[in-house]
Order: sequence, then C-alpha cells, then structure tokens
Amino acid sequence: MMRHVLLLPAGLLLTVCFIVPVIAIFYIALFDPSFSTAHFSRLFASKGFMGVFGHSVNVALVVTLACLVLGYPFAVFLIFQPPERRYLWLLAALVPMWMSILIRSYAWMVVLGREGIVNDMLVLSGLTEAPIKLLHTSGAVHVAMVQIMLPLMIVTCYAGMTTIDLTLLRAARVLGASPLRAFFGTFFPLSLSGAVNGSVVVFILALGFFVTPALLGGRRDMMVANIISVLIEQNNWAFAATVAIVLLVMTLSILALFGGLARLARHAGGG
Amino acid sequence: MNRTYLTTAALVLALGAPQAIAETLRISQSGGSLQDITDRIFNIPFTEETGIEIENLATTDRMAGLKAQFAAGEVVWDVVELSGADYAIGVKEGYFEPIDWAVVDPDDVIPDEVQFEYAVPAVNFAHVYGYRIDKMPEGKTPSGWGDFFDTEAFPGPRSMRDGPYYNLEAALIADGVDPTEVYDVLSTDEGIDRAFAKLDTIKDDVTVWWKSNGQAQQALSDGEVWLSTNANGRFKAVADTGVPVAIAWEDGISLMGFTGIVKGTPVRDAAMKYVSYYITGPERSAEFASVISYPLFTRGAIELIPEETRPWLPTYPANAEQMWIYSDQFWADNLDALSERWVEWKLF
Repeated sequence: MMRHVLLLPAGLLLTVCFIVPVIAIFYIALFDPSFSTAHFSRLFASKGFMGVFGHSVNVALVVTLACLVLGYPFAVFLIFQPPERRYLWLLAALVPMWMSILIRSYAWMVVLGREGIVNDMLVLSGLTEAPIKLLHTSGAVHVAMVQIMLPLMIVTCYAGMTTIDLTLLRAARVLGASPLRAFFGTFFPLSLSGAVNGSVVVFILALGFFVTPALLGGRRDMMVANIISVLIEQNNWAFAATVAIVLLVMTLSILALFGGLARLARHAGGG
Repeated sequence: MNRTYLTTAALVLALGAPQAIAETLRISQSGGSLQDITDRIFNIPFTEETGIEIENLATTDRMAGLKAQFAAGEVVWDVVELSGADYAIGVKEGYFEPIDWAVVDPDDVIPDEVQFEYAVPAVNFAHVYGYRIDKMPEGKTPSGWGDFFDTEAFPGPRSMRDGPYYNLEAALIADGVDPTEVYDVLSTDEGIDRAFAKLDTIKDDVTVWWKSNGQAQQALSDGEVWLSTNANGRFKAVADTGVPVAIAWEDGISLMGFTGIVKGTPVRDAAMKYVSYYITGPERSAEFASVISYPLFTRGAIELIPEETRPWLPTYPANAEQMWIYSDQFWADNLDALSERWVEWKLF
C-alpha cells in the first residue's frame, strides 16, 4: 500500500496532463457535433493522408535502423574504454543534444545547400561540375534526423550494457571461444534489450518529427505532425484529432510489438 | 515657491493619475523581429502617452488560441492581430467586439471602405515573387506568373508556399486566366484540375515548398532557389543585406492584415484607444512602412516615406495598379478540401 502512495504524484500529473486530454481528443474526433465516424472514414479513404502516414513510418524506420547501425558499435566501444576516457567519449556524443533541433536543422541547410560547404568542396575539387542537389531531399532529412537521434540511441544502448558482467567474456575466452564467438555468445545477447529500447525511443520520436522534415525535406517529405499542424491552422480540430488518434494507436501498437521483441531478446539473453 | 508647488502638483497629477487606474492591455502580436519594431514605434510610445501597460502574448496559432480560450471560458487576449482568413473565421464565430469608429477615427484618416465592422485595417502587403537578378538569363527580367512558370525562358530552382492558396491562383493566371476571373474558374472542378495541371509543369523545378516566410527568404538569400514567392517585405529585407533581388509585381496578390478587439474584454475602452493609436498616426505609419515595407491605410502617410523606399511598397501606385485582390471568402469555404488534394498532389 505504502509503495503505491509513492505513485500518486506521478499518477495525478499523468491523469491531468495526459489521460484527460487524450480522452478529450477522442471526444473531439468522434462528436462533431454528434457521434459520427465520418472523420475516420475520410482519413482512411484519403490517398494523400494515408500516403503521409506511410512516408512517416518509412522515414522513422530508416532513421532508427541507421541510428542502430551507427550507435550500437559506438556503445560497445564505450563500454570497453577505461572509465575516465569512457566519460569523455560519452560527453562528446552528448554535446550535440544540448543544441536546439531548430538550430541544428538550419545548420544542415548551410552544410548541404546548393552553395553550401559540401557542394563548394565538390565543385572546387573537380569531382562534380555543378552543385548537386543534396538539400531538400529525403536523404537530407535522414542524415539530419540521424544526427539528432544518435545520442539517444548511444545512451540507451550504453545504459543497457553497463549491467553486463564483462568477466563473462573472459570466461568464454578461457573456455576456448574465439574473440568473436565470445562476443556473440555472451555480450551480444545480453546487450539486445538495450538496443531494442533505444530503437523504440528513436522510432517513436522520429515518427512525430516536425521541424527537420519541413526545413530540409523535398516535396514528398511530409510527416503526420505537419498534417496535424496544417489542419489546426485551418480550424479543423475534429479532423486533426482524428489524425492524432490514428498516430497514437499506431505508436502504441508498435510499442507493443517492440515490447514483444524485447521479451524475446531477454529470453535470448537469459537462456 | 508657489510656482514650484503648482508644477509639482501638476506632475504628481500627470504621473499619478494614470497609475491610479493602471490598466493592462494583453495583445497578441506576431513576435520576432517585427515585434521589436512594433514595440518601438507603437507600443512603447502608447504606454508613455496613456499610461496603459501592454503585455505582449505573441503566438502564431491565433485562431486555435482564440477557439481554445472561448471554449475554456477564459479569454487571455484583449487585442489580436489577424490575417484575412482569421478575420473571416472570427467574425463567423463571434469572437470580436464591434469597432466604435467615431472613437477610433475621429479625424477620418482611414478610408471608408476599410472601416470594417469587427476589426481595424492593419497592414497592406502583397504575395509576389522575387528573383535573383544575378541568376537570370542575360538581359531578361521575369514579369507576371507566366514567367514564373516558364522554366525554359527562366531556368533555375524555384520556391513556392506549401499549400494550395496563392499557388492555385498563380497557376491559373500563368495559364492565361484573367485575375478578375480566377475565383470563378477555381469554383469549378475543371478549374481546379486546370490549376493542378499547370502546377504539374513546374513540379520538379520547385525545390523548396516553404512553410514559413523566413524559410523562403533564407532560400533566396543563400542562392538555394533563384525565384521565390513571399510577402513583399521579405524581398526588401534580402536586398538590404546586399543580395541582388527584385520583385516581379505584375499579377501580384494584394492582401491585408487586421487588428481586432476580443469580445468581452474587460478593458474595451483601452483597447479602442490602442487600435486608434495604432492606425491613425501618419508619422508612425510612415516610419513603420519605411522599416518593414508593410504600410497601414493611414491617409497622409505615403508622402512621409523616403522616396527610395516607396517602390518596395504594395501601395506605390505603379505596383498597386498591377495587382489583384485575394479572396479570403473563397478559401474560408474551400481550404479544407483543397488542402487534402494538395497533399495528395505533392505526394504522388
């Protein structure tokens, strides 16, 4: 009983600031002004809006995968550093997080622009004759979002790894396993739940991205959040609420899916 | 002795009286660098003259804010800046106090046709396109929407607003529709198809679909695009930094802003005083337009604006006569459906 009292402040905050508004959003979407599922029918029938959902998932997947491929090895590298150097590297990975996303997005415009740093170097070195189109492409969105999300992936993977007993690796080696075999036999399965957690965090945040795709993306780079913003600007709250609900349900389903994966990963690690 | 006493008493009265009734006006304006100019020219002098304090609550989502405040039954703004679309929606929803024109404009410096029932006219501005003089083909100057869509005569990357309004009209005019008939054509399904078909022709040449005016300004300034639509003042801001930019005024879209008083405000009289101060001073209006190129409707202001600035203004006669007037009503009725079509058009 006593332990549950400790949950009270957080529970209260969550109820007032999250659960009640979410119920209100459901209400706005379904009662406009009387009960109707018209907004949901319109959304699911709309080629354009469904396409935006598809594109958002696609972008979030690409970014998550890239973060995983770049972030996981970095976290492994960190864990095998001596403590004092480990924190220096960790700090280096975290510093970019202290800058606002808006500023970093604008910085990418300077780097990738037609008259930007990369293009200037390409043309000066004679690699290309004319500037190539880097900015306002899906590629630019991916690169910038990976740069923004990477610290989160590294920290989450790293946090998962700190609980692993590194003497397991030595034990495996003593018993005759090759370095690779020792790594994949002991360390790797134990590190998976951290990697899954990192992927979930990055994926869900990426799904709701707004500023970066708007500034760096091309014609097709519309995210669900951009659509919601346009609908609110048009005073069409009911439809905006509908889009928000579908996004929420989608995110929760993905979370459940990842949750299943994490359980599998734990079993792999435990077994 | 007596004289000193009287002066002191007068001072105490002059300074003390407004403080005794210290009122605060809560104003929602645009924020950013424009806000600094608004504060300097209008808000700070207003407080000094009247003793009415101004608390600024800047926002960009003004209609969403008003809707939420009325729904919650607690209105936190007294005076709000409005776009044409905001004004149309707000009047329909009953968000504004009627303007008492006898109080606001006793000297009749505001033309009758813009003495609206529920708002005072604020800035004049134009949605036009500008171009980089240094990137255009030798000796050629683009003019009118036809040239904006002509990628053979004027090759190069372009930028347009991300959304259907302004763009569908521009496409139809580029396709030969007379500006006076644009909304008649757009009211038919064939007209809408025709506008999108024309947009198809430059779909891949528009590399930046801008979401904010600042973004479009930056793209033109960086050479990311060579032709871009925007509000007229943004081009002067680029030119002022030394980048060679000019405006193509022909077929420009003439627009205006509004300032309204929120219904049920406890400081209605102070709000009337403020909107009056804002729109009826020719010197203030001229100074404002000289800095940001968005003139107010105040009679006698244009003569006070430096001559070299006037050609950047939408009210400059040579510019004004080439433009046509945007319909907020058409978009209030059609934005929802056309936005959906817009998203689909962009995606596929």
